[in-house]
Amino acid sequence: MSSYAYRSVFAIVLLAFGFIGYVHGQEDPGSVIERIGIKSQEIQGKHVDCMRCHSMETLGYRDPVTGGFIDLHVPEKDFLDSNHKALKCVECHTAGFDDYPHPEKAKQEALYCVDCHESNPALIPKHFAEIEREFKQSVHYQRLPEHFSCFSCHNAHFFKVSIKSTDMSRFPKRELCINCHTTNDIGVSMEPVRQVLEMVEYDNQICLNCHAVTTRLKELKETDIPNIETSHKWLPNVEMHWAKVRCVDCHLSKDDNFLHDILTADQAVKHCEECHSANSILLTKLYKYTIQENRQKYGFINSVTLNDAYIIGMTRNIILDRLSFAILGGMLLVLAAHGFGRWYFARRRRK
Amino acid sequence: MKKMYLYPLWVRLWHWSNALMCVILILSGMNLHFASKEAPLVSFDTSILIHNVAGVTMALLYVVFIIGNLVTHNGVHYKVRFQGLIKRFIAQAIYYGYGIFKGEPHPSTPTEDCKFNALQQVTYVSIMYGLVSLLVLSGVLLLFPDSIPDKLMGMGTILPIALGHSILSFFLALFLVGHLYLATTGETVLSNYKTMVTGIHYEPDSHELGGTSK
Repeated sequence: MSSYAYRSVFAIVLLAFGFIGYVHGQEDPGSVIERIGIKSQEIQGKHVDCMRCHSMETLGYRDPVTGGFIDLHVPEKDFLDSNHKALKCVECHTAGFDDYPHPEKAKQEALYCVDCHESNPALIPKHFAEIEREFKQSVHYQRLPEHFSCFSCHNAHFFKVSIKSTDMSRFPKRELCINCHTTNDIGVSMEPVRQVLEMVEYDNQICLNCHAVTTRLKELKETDIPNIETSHKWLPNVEMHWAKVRCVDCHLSKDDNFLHDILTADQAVKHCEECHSANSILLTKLYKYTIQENRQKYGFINSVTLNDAYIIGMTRNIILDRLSFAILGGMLLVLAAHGFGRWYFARRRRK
Repeated sequence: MKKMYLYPLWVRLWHWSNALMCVILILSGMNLHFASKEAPLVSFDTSILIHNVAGVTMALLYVVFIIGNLVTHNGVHYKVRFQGLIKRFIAQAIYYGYGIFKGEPHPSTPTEDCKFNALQQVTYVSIMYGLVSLLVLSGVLLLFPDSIPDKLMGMGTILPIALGHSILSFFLALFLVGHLYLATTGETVLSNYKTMVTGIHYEPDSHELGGTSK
């Protein structure tokens, strides 16, 4: 081999090592994704730059003004499960977040859901204009307008609508079970029961994030708001209600169609029969569902006696109740009078 | 005093078990119907359990009653003799409404082939073959709701069945009150109760009639 050839091989080897070193120093996107545990194809190439930092659980800072912790972590698993998963971060965060470190003014960005949702024709059927109107009538906005925005309750990074429908107005409020159990009637596929419970838990957590945390409530309103357990003490089987009924099923205005006109506590539903016996079809479905759940839980034979399928208020009817008391009272009076007569005349006969 | 063995052991056992179940079901049913957080008799969950267990027991007792009446002599007492029924019925009603106060003798005498008077027979047949069968049926349907359709004539099916179950049980409660009272109209206040314990009925001879405790 000539010295020229040796020099060429040496140069190629050097270049090869140089290239490997360069690649290693650059950290290709694939290795970053591996390192931070993002595996989904959907996130690759869309959020990887942002997630490089924001997927870290500890990312955040203490606000020098309020002293509160500003959490900048975005859980990628929840984000990928959200309704916004198809969006790039910078599609919403447009205030200069392309640059790093982010400019100071970018941190002052004020996002508002309706800004996007109103201008996008594809999102008009989601009724954001109506939702905004209802939200502005709600007790939250009416009492504390400066503290409340969409983000007070909904985190856009993992927000997802519970009911998969193109037209939410077709789902009447307070008919929670019907929303899913008869969805075939309105052309939407049937949801398994388990998902209903998950939906209830998800929706209720939105309310409990504030209402179950006394300090959080105090931050918003200086006066004491009663603890959620105290304010619901009147409600029978309170934990069962919270597990199986959404807060909004009782705390919504009667004119509400899009689940955002939240009422004050004293305006909320307090009569059991408003839900339990007002709609006989809902009642039948709820009753059957409870029996089936019990059958799964206890088995066929045991469920006959151990099932707790009874719907409070199901048989209550004021007229029938009063009539039955009147009949029973009348009968007891007649029998008492008859008995007294027998005793009295028997006594007279003996004399 | 004539001694008659009118209530065999199985009838007495059935009768008192059935009576106990009726009382338990009425009380637990009222606890469910008038469910309240304020000082309930027993807790709501316990009431459901009691009601279900007693309901299933009563349904089984009802089967025992039907089979017992089919295969034993007891069934003959539930075969209504229509001949002269209205006349006997009215005579019995007049006795309860008037004659009893004057110490008149019972218009009918129990025999081993017909232990009930006309009023008892019509009431017991209506209650046991009519009301209780519907009550047991509605209770069974409430335990097995998947055997009925969701909707009937545009409304849910559970509500009318549950409401019917409550109304029937109200009439059963009325019957129970009336039954307990009329059971005191025997030769003495407690004689009929004793008969349902021992099975033996003592029929006074004609010269002994006109008891003092009626």
